[in-house]
Amino acid sequence: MSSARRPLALLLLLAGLLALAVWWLPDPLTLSRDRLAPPGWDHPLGTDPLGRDIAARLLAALPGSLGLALLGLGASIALALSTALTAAWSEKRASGFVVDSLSQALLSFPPLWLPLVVLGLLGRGSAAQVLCVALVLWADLHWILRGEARRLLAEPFVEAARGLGFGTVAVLGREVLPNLLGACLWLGLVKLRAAIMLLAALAFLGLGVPPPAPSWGSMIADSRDWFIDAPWLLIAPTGAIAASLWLAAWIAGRLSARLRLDRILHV
Amino acid sequence: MVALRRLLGGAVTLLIALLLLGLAAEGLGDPAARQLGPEADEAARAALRAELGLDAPLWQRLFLPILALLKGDLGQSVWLHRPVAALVGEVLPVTLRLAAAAWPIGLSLGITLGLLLASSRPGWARLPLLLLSMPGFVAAVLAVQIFAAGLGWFPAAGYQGWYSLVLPGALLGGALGVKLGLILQDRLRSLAQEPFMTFARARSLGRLRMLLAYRLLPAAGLLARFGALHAGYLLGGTLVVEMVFGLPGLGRLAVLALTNRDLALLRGCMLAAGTGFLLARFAAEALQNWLDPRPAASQT
Repeated sequence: MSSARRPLALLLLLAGLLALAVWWLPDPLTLSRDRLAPPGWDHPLGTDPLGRDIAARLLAALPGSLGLALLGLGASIALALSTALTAAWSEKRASGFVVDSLSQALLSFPPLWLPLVVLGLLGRGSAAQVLCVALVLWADLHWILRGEARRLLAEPFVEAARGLGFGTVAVLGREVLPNLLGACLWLGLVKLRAAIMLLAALAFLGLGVPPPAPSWGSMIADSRDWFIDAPWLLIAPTGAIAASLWLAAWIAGRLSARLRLDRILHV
Repeated sequence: MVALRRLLGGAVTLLIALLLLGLAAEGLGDPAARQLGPEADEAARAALRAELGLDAPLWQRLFLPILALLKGDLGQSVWLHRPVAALVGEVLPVTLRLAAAAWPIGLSLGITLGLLLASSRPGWARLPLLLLSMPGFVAAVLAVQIFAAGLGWFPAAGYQGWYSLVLPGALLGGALGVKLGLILQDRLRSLAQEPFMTFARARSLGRLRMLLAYRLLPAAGLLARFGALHAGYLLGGTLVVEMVFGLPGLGRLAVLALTNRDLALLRGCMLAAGTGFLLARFAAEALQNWLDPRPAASQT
């Protein structure tokens, strides 16, 4: 197999395994009589103190943990793109100044305090979680993309487009934006780690999506009193978090090698 | 100048967040009904509302807290029925002590780790990177269960003097140290490419002197910035560690205030922590500009 096909094959394999697991595993909320059963044929990753299947719960937590992280990341990148383009285009004007100062101000708060305010204002629903991720990641993304957009705006082809009489929308949309997409993809994969960690930490603190919806962070929190006797309670969700982080890092590494993003990005 | 401007921007943001929390506290329905449950009769609810000052008209409830905030009055906690200022004042010493324990550990560990990594082969840096892929709270949970609950070396929950801070302080310091070590080794490696290193080699200095005087010294701005910034983060109370260890600090109070929907208390915590972050960030930037004026000079 050529090395170019390997990532694709791995992802396909992963998707196949997930499909198999969905078909095979019991319902994640069903209580059974095998409480704290060790990993075995019936329960591949064991059961929790209520007799619920750990593997099924891990899988059921996928949309709440990874899905919300991806949504928040997408929202954050979209937000950062629009603010970065605004700030780079109107650098000496009020709109650019407002956006820049806001992102600077948000950077002075540590990553977990911002969600406290958001969750305090909006409650603990999924939309609030997505907004938390988006706001926490936004400031950083804004500065990186803003620098890239500024650099692109000084390029000769942008100069040429302006000389031809292109308007703001055309210059930004047709000349600058397509050149930013590679950077967005790479940043997204790098920041996915922060998004997953943030949601896991919130869920661990009991501030995630309310139960009974499982999430990896709350599974770790629930395992606290049991894992000395039943280590699979802690290992399984931690492994799920670590595996998704590793997968994102691996894809990011392959992509940056493939697209020579280090050259494009000047980082 | 830049640092001062950012301090002002941060203060405005903090004020906006506090005002929003104040507004939300009014919009979240009737705390009296929520607290007393559906069985309570109307007289009890009215009494509690009067105690919490909720019987006033809406405009008074919206604007009087803002005025009170400016006068230094943080209001009453709906959850604990006590003044917010007193509650925040009670938890601050624990958080300050935890920060005082973790910060020196983190900085000394980080500098040592950075120097070691920078003078060894690049492959070694993968080890601390691997450590960082484990969520911090997993490490905290493991440490509590093994050293406190299992072996009984340290108290598992609550604050009983300095002894309770050993484990959380070591964990926080360790996390800080690994992070600083990685950043520092990166900077030290890039400094090794600078022309003045050729000069140092031409002077045939010892390896240690070359490392300390020619590579660590130019990284002082980075160290100062990192140190001051993370002092601020620690002053805010580290939510996860305080929750896991049951330390009655600022971060734990904020999380509990949020889970009990006590926005006045959350606002008080936010004010205390936010002031700490802003001052620390200001100090971080001022220190960095003073130690290494090159970036600021090139900006203007």
